[in-house]
Amino acid sequence: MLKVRGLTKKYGDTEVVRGLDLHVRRGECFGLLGPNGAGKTTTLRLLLGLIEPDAGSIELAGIAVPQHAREARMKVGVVPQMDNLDPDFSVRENLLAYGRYFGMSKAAVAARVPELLEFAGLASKADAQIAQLSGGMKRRLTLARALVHDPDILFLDEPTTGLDPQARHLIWQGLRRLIADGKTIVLTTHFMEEAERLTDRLAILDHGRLVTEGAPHALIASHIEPAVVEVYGEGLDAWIRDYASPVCQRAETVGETLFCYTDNAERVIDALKQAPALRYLHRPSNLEDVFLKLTGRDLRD
Amino acid sequence: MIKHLRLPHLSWRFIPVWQRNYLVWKKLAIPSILGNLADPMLYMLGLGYGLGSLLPDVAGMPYLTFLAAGTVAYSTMNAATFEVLYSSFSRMHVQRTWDAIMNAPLTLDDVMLGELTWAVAKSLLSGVAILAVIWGLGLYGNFWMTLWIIPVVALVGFCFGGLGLVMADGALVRRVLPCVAAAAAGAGCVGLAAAHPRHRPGAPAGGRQRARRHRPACRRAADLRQHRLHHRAGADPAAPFNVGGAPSPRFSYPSKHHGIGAGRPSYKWCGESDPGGLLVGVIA
Repeated sequence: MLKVRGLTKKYGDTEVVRGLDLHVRRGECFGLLGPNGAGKTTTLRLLLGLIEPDAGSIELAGIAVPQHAREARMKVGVVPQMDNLDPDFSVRENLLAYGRYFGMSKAAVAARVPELLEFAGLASKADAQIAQLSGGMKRRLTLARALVHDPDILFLDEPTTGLDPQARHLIWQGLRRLIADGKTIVLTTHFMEEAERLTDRLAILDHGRLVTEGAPHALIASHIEPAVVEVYGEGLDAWIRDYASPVCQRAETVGETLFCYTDNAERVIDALKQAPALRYLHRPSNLEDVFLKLTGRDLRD
Repeated sequence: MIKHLRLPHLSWRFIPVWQRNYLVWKKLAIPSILGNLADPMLYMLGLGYGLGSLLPDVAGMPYLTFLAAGTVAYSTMNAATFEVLYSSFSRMHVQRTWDAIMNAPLTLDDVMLGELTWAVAKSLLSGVAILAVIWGLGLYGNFWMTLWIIPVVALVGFCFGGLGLVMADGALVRRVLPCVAAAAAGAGCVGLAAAHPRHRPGAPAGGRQRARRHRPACRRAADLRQHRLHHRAGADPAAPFNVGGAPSPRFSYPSKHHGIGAGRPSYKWCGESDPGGLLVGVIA
């Protein structure tokens, strides 16, 4: 559905995307993860043909981009990072106006509107103004708007950023419905939980480069020890000096907390009995641990 | 820089962009049209009849006539520039409507063409509203010649819409479309003005005068003006307040073959006398 080879984009002397290769299959939900400034949004803009690459090729739904970007965009629905619903129109009018940009007749869009409003859970808000909607409603309407022309593939740029857990779950529910309907989804996100729950495969980007790619659980299994013990409290330094190295395969200190990655959490917990003042949290390792291991803990602003 | 100078990628998809702006405007169409009519009415009544009755001729034509042509020029320029500098700008940068539209199969050139043609529509609306006032008050010499103004107004819309778009976002100066629209439409304005049917020296006099007799508003204004001038000059109403010392040509319009600003003998810009010429003259 989407084939990207050697994609490169420079802004001045800065290479924002460096030789990216991606392959997304039909019906798949694919995640693009990376710290701020890793090149996720630029990649999406390149894929849509909104900006032109300096090198590399893109084939979107079998159509070469940016050469035939117009035709390709007919098959793509986009949920942008920042809501850009039309504030001059009501909920229903937003959908009607957006359908026209795809060359749909008024009747054809009007016939789709009830279904889209139901999908977004906004059937009772059809005539509301955009300013009256909550953040979650706006996001759902943006998602419904992206579906107005019944695209084969959906691009979502951080679809749940800034939403409360209830709204986030509603969006996830909607996305699962779309995946079940056979839509292909490309998703960027900072929420590891979101990526773990929704995506079939994901790629981690850093500094414009592909760091790794694979199914979420496969990535956890291949890149990181299965368990983490987070240790914090009085006497941490002494415990690290005396006990940590034999029981932790890998240990990282972040502020007041030690992250101890291990194959055998029992041994770590036994060792922790020597320092009863310390408190700890034992949990299975997750995608966030992989992400932080591969992209580092430094801030990226 | 050269790499940006490509021909615009245009398509018929600019129409939904125009239509979007039209649908938003339609929601407030009645107040908007009333505003378009009220603004020139205020100028014509307040300045034209009020102030005009105190003023001498301007370059050989009544101040009211001069003002009517100038109002068309100012108002159509203003309609186009306001539309792109304020409304299009907020759609571009504040509401991010352009971003949303460009995720559909439209290019930036399509969006700009939609905005430009909308600016032209706003110019036409405002120009025609003023013409309606001019027609209603009978401030013209020849009805058919006033229609000459309509294409000029459309070109003024393109010209100032294009200039305004470039001002709204300096990056758009790299785009061929608004720059070419501004330049071509500007040249078109001058061309239309130059092509306007000229003053014919041998034409029978008195057309304007005849027309006036059938338009009470005009006649009243003329009488009032006569009266005031008489009192200010404190002398002979037949030789009223006169700038250059030459006899006033107020009631001796030579031809009916002119629109607004007809029959001004000393106005030499771009031929003799024509509304397009006056329009472009005011713009220039």
